[in-house]
Amino acid sequence: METLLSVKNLKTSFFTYAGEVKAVDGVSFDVGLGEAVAVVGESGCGKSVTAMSIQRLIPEPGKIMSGEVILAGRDLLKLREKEMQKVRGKDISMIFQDPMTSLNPVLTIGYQLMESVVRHENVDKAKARQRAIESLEMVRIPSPEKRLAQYPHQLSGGMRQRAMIAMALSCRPKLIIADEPTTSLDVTIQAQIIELLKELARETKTSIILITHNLGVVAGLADRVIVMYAGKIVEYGPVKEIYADPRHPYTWGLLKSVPRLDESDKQRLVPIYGQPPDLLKPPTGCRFHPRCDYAMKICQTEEPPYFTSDCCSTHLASCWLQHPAAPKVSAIPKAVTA
Amino acid sequence: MSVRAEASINDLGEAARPGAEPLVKVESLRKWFPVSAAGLSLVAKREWVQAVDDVSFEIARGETLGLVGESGCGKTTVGRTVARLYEPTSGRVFFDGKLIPSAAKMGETRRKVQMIFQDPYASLNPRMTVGDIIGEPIDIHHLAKNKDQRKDRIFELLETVGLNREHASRFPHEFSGGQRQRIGVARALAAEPDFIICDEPISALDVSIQAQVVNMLQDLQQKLGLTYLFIAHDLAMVKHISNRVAVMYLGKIVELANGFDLYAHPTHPYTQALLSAIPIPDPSVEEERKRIILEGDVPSPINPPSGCHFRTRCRFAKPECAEKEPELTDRGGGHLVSCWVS
Repeated sequence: METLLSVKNLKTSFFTYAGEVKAVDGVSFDVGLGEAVAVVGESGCGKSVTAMSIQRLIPEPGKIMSGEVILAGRDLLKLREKEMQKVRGKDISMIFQDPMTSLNPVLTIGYQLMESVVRHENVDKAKARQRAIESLEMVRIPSPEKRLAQYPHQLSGGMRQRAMIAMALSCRPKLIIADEPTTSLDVTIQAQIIELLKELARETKTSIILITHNLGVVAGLADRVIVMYAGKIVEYGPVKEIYADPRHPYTWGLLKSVPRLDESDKQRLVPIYGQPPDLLKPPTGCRFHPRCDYAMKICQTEEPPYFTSDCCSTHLASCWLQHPAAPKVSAIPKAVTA
Repeated sequence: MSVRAEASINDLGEAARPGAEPLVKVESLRKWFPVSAAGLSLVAKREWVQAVDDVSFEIARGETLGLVGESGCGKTTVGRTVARLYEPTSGRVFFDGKLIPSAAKMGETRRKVQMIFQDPYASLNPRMTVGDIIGEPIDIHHLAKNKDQRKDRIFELLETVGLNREHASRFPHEFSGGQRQRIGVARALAAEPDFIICDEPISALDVSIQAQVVNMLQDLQQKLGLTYLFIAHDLAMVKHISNRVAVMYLGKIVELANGFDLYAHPTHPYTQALLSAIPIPDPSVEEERKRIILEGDVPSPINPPSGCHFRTRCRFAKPECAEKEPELTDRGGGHLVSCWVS
């Protein structure tokens, strides 16, 4: 598969009064053309900061320290702000979590849809209007001409999220970054939006970076999965591999701590004990070791490299258990009875 | 803490045995909220949001009843009306066989019915220490004879929910979301309740922390013989923690059954759509699943559709669905469904 986006050793820090918070600490991954990559992790693991760094939208006191973000051959981190503005909304667009707070309440849906088209493409108003209607049709909004004149508050939650997706699509971007696109929606509406994203990805061949904490949404939508913990990628691989043969204890924990709707008997949930670490002073060695059931001596001192598995070279896990000399803990542990 | 009769969540069949007196019984509960009509008409017509409309259910001692539904379906209002934080528009609530006449005349029942709230950030007073937050129910209900006893009880409660004694002198902002929710649970337990209404207790927490809190709630239920009304929108979690699950849509219960039964044989078209909409964390399962996608949005509860409230979005709706409201009827084995078609 041809690579569209390549992120290399990205480091983003926030300089707070208490010290430097390394929110993203050496993240590297690729997104192929037309591929959907999911970034999973809990709040504060750096998944949103990664997405914002790709677009260079890190607010003060944050700073991208180093790394490369190569989109179709160009390093976005080396562009001047003027050039970057031509990338945002045109090559990369964004779908935010809460459609109520990310749409402007005092502008019509039509105005907000046409804004980026007029800005990025040399078209007149009538043409932009036509494009806006097409975008609304793409996201299956009924009677789009009527919607153009409406304000965000006149639309329901699901409709607003569709309008957001229409805005993201309006300049036919190469890459869409969807930051928790369904988190604030009800499940039946979530199902509508997921189906829509799937169809659009198929029709338009747009690449998607999906940021979420919902492992169910990932299973239905993504081709590849990145699991992040405390600013680092801990596991990275094709979606089926990650679910069928997870390698990192944190991934085991994430999969075991949510009940499955199709479970046939009640198993006790296996929580991940403790709290996510304070990134002002992250643990030494493997950042997950204080919460890991399988932590060894080496985990406390040495940071694990990325190990590939015998079966496929595309499934990476940053865990010492994958070292050939490590004891074999392969299966997901069974539920412990209290 | 007085340890009551051991009740296991697994032999709930025992507790839910027909004929046994339910701990909580709700009969045709209605809660309508007034809204002022639009416009400046002098003869303003009163309109009502029919948040809860004719809801009945029973909860056996030691049982967990799950209540699921999408936002605006009235599940939180049911919880708050049962706890008498809202006065019902009509209908009756019995606790332990006795009718609750009004909020003012609840007496002992006020202590025995406690709540855990959704947002652990908003439900704890930021200017009170954790010890005082947990101590407040003890003071109000005079559950401690002297200061030492009060202090010991607070320490005991903190340890019950997995926190330390040292935490008593700290303030809520010093704790993470999961720890705050534990404080909320300790506060509910301080009143020595029989029945706890858990209103979305884990929705605001991260997945790894959700499991910690759910396991703790289950352990406490076993240890103290508690009865829960567990309100949430996450059907997988509700099915996991509950013995029976009630599905609500637009102010009404549309289906009520044992959790496994509900998943294996969903009968109401809304339950079927709701179940099929929930993603399962397994790509090979997801590939094969057929989704029932509901068209449109939930109608306004101000003027709900006539007859069956779900008919406007139902795949099987027939003309007669618009005429008469279906009733919740037993389709065998305590599986209650309210639908004309299925």
